[in-house]
Amino acid sequence: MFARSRTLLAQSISRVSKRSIHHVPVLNNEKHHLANGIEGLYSAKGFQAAWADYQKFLTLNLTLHTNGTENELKTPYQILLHTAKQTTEQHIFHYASQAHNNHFFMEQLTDKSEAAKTRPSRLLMEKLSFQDIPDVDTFRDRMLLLADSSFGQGWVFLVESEDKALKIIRCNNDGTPYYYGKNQSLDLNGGVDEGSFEYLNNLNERAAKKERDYSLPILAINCWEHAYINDYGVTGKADYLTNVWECINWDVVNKRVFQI
Amino acid sequence: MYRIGSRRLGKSSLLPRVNLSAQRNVSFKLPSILTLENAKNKQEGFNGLFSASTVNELWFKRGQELVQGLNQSLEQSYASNEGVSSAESNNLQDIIAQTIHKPELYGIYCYASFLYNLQFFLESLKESAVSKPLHYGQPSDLLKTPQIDGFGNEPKDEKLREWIIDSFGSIVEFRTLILNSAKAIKGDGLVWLVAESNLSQSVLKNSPNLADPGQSKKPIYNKLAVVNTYNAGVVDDSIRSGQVQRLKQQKEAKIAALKSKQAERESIESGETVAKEIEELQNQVDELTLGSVEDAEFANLFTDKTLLPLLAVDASPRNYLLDYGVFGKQQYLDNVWESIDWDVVTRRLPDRTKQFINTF
Repeated sequence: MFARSRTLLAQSISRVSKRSIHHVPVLNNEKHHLANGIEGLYSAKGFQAAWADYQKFLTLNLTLHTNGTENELKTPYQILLHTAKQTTEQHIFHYASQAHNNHFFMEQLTDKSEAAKTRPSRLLMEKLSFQDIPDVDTFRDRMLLLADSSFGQGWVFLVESEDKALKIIRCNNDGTPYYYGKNQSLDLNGGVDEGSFEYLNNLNERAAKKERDYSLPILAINCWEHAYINDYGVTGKADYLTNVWECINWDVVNKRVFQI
Repeated sequence: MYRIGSRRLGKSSLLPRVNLSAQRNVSFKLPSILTLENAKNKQEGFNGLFSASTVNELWFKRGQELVQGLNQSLEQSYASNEGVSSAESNNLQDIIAQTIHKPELYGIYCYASFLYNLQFFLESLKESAVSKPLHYGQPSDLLKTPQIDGFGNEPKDEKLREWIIDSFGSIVEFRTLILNSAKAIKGDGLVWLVAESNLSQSVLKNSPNLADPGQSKKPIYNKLAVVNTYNAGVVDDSIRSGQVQRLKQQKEAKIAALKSKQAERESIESGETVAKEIEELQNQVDELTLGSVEDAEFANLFTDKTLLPLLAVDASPRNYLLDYGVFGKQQYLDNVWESIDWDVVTRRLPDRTKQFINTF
């Protein structure tokens, strides 16, 4: 009996500790990438910095900031949704949103030779054609030009909205594609044009109506310096972006598109 | 800079490369910062802060990229005959002031302001006397208890010390505030030590008696403050205040015009479509709510106070990722403190007025 209660105790302890600590998730082929990098994109050291170290930094911070709070038992995805509207929790939102985005981004990458065997599905291209994107090259240019022409850190997402239409959005800094109020698509430094003004008004209205957002990301491009500074240097963003496109595993991306 | 498209597609249309240099007298060059020129060529780099390769990346490569981007976007703007007049565009601050209101010149503004901020930060630094190796951060660094004392390089100038202690309480409190503000910046950004004007520009303009003595309309400074800017933000953005207010007024004028149009039409027809249009616009401007933060700020004239920058600390990831790693930001900031050249900061100090005038 004594032995039994001890195992129960041990079990409950392990359960608690398992739930409240955020770990770096394991990627497909992670061992291979950690040893060799991602062919055509990262050296082993670059992959270590962009994924293992940065994700460790994010998850460790997430653990430290959520321990003993209501967010303790939640996944990064749940935490980012839960903290998106709370003005005093934005530091936690940052770590959760970044951890989620970075994982989402790394999941879709693979060695260049493997990536060359995959291609965007017919369904995806058909949906893109409704957005005036007739072929893969146009798609690539739209995504990468938006990524390259923006200043500062951030993300570019291909997003599927509630009506299953696709759109490309830029999220500055730790912006998330899951909630319009935290897309952070505008950089309000410099002059504010009428379009931005109307966009902001529109956000206010939607928030006042408590409108929900059911958008889901399909494809992410990471424009944070963490993702390229080790292999490409401070000024290497354009080269990095060109290589990222060559290393996208479309099999992963295709599965994210809504299918009946 | 549209570098990707032009390479792959071979389209020159994305970046019109017409030879326009004849139209322009001024072309920007990367400013020379002596400490960095030295650090680049030494094996140990910028002693106590950056390795030689990081100095090269941060200033010589990125600075050059910003200069190129600025020159290119200026050329384009001259070509289309809008924007900056070439006579006035030989100085970064002038360019920033001329482009900060204009959404169509966002690119020029960003390059100019990024370059100005970077230069301001790097010029505030000096190498430390003793050479010590840089510590590459580990996960365990996040678990360390933060230390607020045990630092060196306190400002020596009496005037500056007194001003800091009056404004922040003590040197320790000031150091903690400025480094923690830097630590809180997650993306690109800088934290600034600024001298804050007592009175807003509009008060100074409208009531000369208040600005006694001497009825000077120049800003007078009493306190120091710490301010964060993000991406291409500039410290003194009083020059761009009131933009949202102006857009709001434009919209209200539009509604008023539509209303009078409706009144004209009502005698002729039912005016249903116009009524709908008005309703839509009115939904957007709700006159019954209390008003927004911008309204409050505008009313209180907080927005157009002159802030004079004295010191900048760049907290963007590129500064620490290469030498300190992602876990090393705190170490980087501690080292920045040790590398601040207080002589430069003292030289930037404006005259101080001890007379206290209520802040707005």
